[in-house]
Amino acid sequence: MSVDLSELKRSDFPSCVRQGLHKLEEVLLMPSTPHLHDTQQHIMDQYVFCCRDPNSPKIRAMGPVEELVVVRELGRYLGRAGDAASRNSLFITLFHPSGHDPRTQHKLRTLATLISLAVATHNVSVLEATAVWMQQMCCLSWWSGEVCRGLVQDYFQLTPAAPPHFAAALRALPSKAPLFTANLITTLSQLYAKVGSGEPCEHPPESLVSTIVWWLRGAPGLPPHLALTPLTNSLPGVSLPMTAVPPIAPLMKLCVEAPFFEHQENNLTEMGIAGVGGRRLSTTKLTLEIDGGHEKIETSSTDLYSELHLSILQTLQNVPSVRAHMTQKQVLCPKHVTSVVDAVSERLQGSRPEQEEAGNLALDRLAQIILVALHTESLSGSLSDMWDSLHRLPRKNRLISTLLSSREAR
Amino acid sequence: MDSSILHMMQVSQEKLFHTDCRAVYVVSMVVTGATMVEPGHSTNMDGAGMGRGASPTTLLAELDRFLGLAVSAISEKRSHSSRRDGSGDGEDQPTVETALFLLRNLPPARPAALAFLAHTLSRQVSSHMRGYSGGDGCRKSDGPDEGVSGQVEALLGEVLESAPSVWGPLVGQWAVDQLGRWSVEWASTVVGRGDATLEEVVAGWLSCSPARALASLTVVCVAHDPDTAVAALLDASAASGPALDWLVAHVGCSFPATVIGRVLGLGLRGFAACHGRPPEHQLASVNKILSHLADRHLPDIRRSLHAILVRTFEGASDAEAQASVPFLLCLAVTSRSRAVLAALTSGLDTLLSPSDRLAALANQVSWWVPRYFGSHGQLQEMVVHLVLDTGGSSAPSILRLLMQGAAPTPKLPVAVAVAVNNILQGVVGEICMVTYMRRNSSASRILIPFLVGLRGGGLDGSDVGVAVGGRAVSPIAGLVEETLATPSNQAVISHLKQLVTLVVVQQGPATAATTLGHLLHCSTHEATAGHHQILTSVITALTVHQAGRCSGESPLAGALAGALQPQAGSSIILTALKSLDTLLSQSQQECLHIYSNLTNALLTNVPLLAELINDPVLGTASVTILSQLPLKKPIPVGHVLCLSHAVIFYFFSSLHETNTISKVSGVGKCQLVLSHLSHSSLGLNLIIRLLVEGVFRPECAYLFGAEKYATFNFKDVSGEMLIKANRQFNSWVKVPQSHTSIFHMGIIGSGRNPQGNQTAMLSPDTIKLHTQLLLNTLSVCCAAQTNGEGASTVALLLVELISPDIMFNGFPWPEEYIKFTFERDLAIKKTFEEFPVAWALLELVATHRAALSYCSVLVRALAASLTAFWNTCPLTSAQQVPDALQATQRLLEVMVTAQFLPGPLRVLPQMVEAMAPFELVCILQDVWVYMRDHTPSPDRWCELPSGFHQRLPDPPMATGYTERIQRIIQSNVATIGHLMSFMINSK
Repeated sequence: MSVDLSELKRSDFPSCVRQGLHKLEEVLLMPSTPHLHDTQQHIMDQYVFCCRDPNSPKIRAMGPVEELVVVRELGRYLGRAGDAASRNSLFITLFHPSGHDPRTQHKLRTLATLISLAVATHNVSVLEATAVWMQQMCCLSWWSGEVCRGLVQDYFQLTPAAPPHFAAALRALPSKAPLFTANLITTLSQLYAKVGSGEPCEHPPESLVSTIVWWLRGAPGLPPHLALTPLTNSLPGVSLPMTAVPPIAPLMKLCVEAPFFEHQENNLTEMGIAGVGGRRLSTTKLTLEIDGGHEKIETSSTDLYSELHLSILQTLQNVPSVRAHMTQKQVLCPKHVTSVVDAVSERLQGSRPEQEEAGNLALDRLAQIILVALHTESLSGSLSDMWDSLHRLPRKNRLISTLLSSREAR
Repeated sequence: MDSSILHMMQVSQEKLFHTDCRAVYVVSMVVTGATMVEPGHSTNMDGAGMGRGASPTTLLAELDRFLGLAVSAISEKRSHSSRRDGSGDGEDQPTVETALFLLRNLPPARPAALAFLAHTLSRQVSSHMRGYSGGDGCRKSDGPDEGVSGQVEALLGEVLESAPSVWGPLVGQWAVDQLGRWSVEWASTVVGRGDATLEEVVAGWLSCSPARALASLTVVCVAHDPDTAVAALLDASAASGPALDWLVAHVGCSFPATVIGRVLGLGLRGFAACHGRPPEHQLASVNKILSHLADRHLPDIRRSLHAILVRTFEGASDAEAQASVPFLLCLAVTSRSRAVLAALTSGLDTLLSPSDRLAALANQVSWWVPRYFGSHGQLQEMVVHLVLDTGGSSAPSILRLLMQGAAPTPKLPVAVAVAVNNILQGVVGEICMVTYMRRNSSASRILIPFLVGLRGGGLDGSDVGVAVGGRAVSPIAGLVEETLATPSNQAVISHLKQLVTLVVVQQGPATAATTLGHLLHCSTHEATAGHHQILTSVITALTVHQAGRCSGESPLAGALAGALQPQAGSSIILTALKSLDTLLSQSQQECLHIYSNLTNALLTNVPLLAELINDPVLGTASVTILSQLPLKKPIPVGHVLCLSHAVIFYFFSSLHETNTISKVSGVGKCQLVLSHLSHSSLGLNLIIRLLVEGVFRPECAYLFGAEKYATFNFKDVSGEMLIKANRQFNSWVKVPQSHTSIFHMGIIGSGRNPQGNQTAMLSPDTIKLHTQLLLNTLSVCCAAQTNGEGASTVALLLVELISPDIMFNGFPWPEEYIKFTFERDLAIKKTFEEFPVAWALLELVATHRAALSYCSVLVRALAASLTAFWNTCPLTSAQQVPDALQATQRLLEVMVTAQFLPGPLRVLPQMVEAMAPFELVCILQDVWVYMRDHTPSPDRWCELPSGFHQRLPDPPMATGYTERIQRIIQSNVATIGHLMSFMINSK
């Protein structure tokens, strides 16, 4: 069975994208045949992602303006109301990444622009499709990270000079696209937390953390358990859904390691190579001061992370209430928790005497989260590795000793 | 979980709520803050129908509008790329505003908006340039240009200020890219001609408003985020080649330290990351930027370069720190700019001189070699070429550093000394090779920066006079001095020797003079053989070089002249003289070939040496040198004259010495010099005249027993010898009895003459010694000429000085009764009394027999006055007047010695002691009569083969002359009877 591309060949640049998408959706609905995959690739390369020059058969390099035109067309096409399943499968086909494919880079860039545009213009449909794509790629993966990295630059540098609708767009995200928001939290926090990599946390921008906290806190009219959304959502149009990862593990790592950030940056400043870190710190202070307005409230990042800690605890405490709707049993992967525990013990080993307080705070937060997770049975699977790691922590801390004794009591 | 834990958690949560409520408020302000200040700029957009806080719909509408316009605009440009018409500017205006709106409000549209703005600005630039190249003089009105580019600059500047970390990289990269493109495209038209200077190019671009806007944006970016912006600048500069230099210069002038620091930092990082094989363009662009800024910001560059070096010493051990030295070396090697090289090398020796720093570097070498350089040999070769390229004041400091490395110290590994020796060898070899290759070129000097620097020349080979305390200094000679002052090994000295030789030979006569002078001035310990080695080789090279060049003037002589300039200061010249002395004696002993050259050169400088002789400090040293010179051969008359004057002054001043040994040795050296000089008859005459005249001068006469003048020189209360004051005259050619022979006599009116007898008269022994020394000297001089001319000269001089009359000075003795010369005779006798040395001189003359004839007048006057004295003497025995008796005896002895009184008359001197005055009168009258009858004239003497003179045999003496004498003997037979036999036998 062949696909008729003659009409497509006649079309001009901006419209050929639209028509190519239409044709691609049609092709996806066809029963699978050996050449079908090649045809899909052909349509994507020739008509969707690259603009043809009508005068020459050669494929022209795209300028930024043309790229934006393509993104605009993609957004417009995907944003129209339609069947969520076919939309999702079209989306996943379009942006399927591959390590060997040289076009992947370009596709990811286009996708990042598309998401950014969708956030700004409240294109819910695109955001939903993106959420599915992210979950399918796994939110902790490199691909997701690459795509979402651009958003940090675009929207999370919240200075007073930034246009107000940036904040508005971010504010609207949880209500409009809760699944996307949850996956976005996972990916963004993973960008800095680096769970499972064995590396310590990077210090995330304050505005990012504060936004995440604001999202998690929930507001009137917002879904109560935003972080648990991925566990309860089914993915239409996806034949083999991947295991959903809620943002708890990376956020936990961030908030447990947060007490060490300040010391780390102080050290850097002392050593005179503060560079980026130092500047970021100063920006943050500026932001908070001005945001505080007339009250001139001096807040430190400690308070922000306490708030984040509270959100995590609340989320975990809410697990039983949504357990009935969950598509999977696992909430928190024990391996991730183990890696967090290991990171903390590494931090403690390298810490200096004056950081004792910070170490205690970190241990308190860690123990509280694990206690609540155990209590709500969010941790499933083999926990022996996690316990081994926990036993390596100093037992001086009261909560840790309580945690360890609770295991023995069990 | 037990209840206690739950309780605890609740407590902690409450606490969290309590403490965090304010934070939550603030956080929510960030996201929910709907009342944030609306930036003023967006009022600009209100005209285009934008409300506050753009809604999604507005954003999409604006986006669509922009895309429609932009796509058509850009494709239009593509299809009609030849259309360079500014008429589209007006149509662009709304699109530009939309683009600016999107840039600010829709992050995903930023790249596209920037691309479009770039497109628009490019068109403006092209129309600007077209107006320029059209040459119509009146450029198009800048109205729309100013509008759009002003808007762009204002908006981007504002967002940059508000969030530099977001916008900095984006805008910086964009602006630099555009400027790079334009610069390449319009490189030839921006100023209108090809050979414009950088300043003109900068001015040309800044007059174009889009370029000016982007340039100022770049500057803002550099101010906020130097790292990223400078990296972008570097890449663009590498990509666009020299066309973008103006931007680098522009930015660099605003932030020299930052730009230089970042540029170097980036270069180093790239270098370290690529293990020494960075992309060519990176190093090249680093170099280009540095050489740009080198003109005005040399100190900044030097500081940055040194900071990189210092970091490696401060314990930084990361890859970057360890790569820093190789990086700097590569930078220096690839750099075409002398200024960069100078910045890198100046002050390097002080930076590295603490020896632990050198040791630290030495430890790093093993890290560099397989990584950044192929082998040790390659590294050394690189260093050799760098050293050769180092000029200016850095050259000596580099050499100093190398020598420091070559000297074995416990702190440095042995390998370092070996490597440094290799490098020095390489340097010398390379210079030799270059010299050899260009031996036929017409240029008199070979421009190797290192050599020029060692001679003290400037970076461009000019002669920058390095002067310290008013005298020219040769840096390399200074180094030699330093090296010799510290114990150093043979290898170092030999390298140094070769380098000095090359500098002296290749860098022209002025350098040779300065350097050799400085080398001679080096004061070294006695034991350092190195100094003489170096001097010997330098002199050898100079003479060989001279032989090759066949130039008239000997550079060696010139150099010596420079070294001995009296302005230099006594102690310095003294050192030089000592060096020369050692050199002379050594070369003479070892029969070195330089001896003849050296003596020739010294002979040329005889007037200078003569001038130095009578400096109280330098006298001995210069006479020592002179005494080693072969002055026998003909030398210019002027030299003879001044040298004679000077040496004779020295002779008299030696006699003033109290220390007998130094007195005798000084006189001995004078004799040596004078005897050489006497080989010319002119010299002999002059010397004798000066000596004899000097003897009768008041300030010297007392040395020879003239009591009258014993206190003469104490008139000078300042305590200085007059001879010092007169030193300034002593090299003049003096014509006797003219104003040039007048001496400074001290200050009149310095008070009363001190009461006599304050100082004792010299002891008779001393006077005898002085007299003997004088006579020795005279006879040595006279012996230089075989014809006895000397003695005659002395004789004539005595007459000239002692006899105040010019009449009746001839040979004949007149009748006894002619008494009109009586007064003169008395004056002559008085002179002999006052100056006992006159007797000695007369005796000296008498030994030459014939010569005494010229003194006939003196002898006659003495005889006459003594006769008169005895004639009126009322005493019974002559012994009661010992002075007169002694004078009579001496007179008769003189006459006998000179064979004035032949035959029986020879015994007269032995008789006189026992006489009575009237008997003496008789004897003297007989003598007078004999002399009257036998006029003493030189032709009565003939010269024997032995050189002595013999009186021609006379006929036997008539008895009339001896009759009275025989009577007197008979009457005094008791005392002088034994003399009778002579009277008889002579018959």
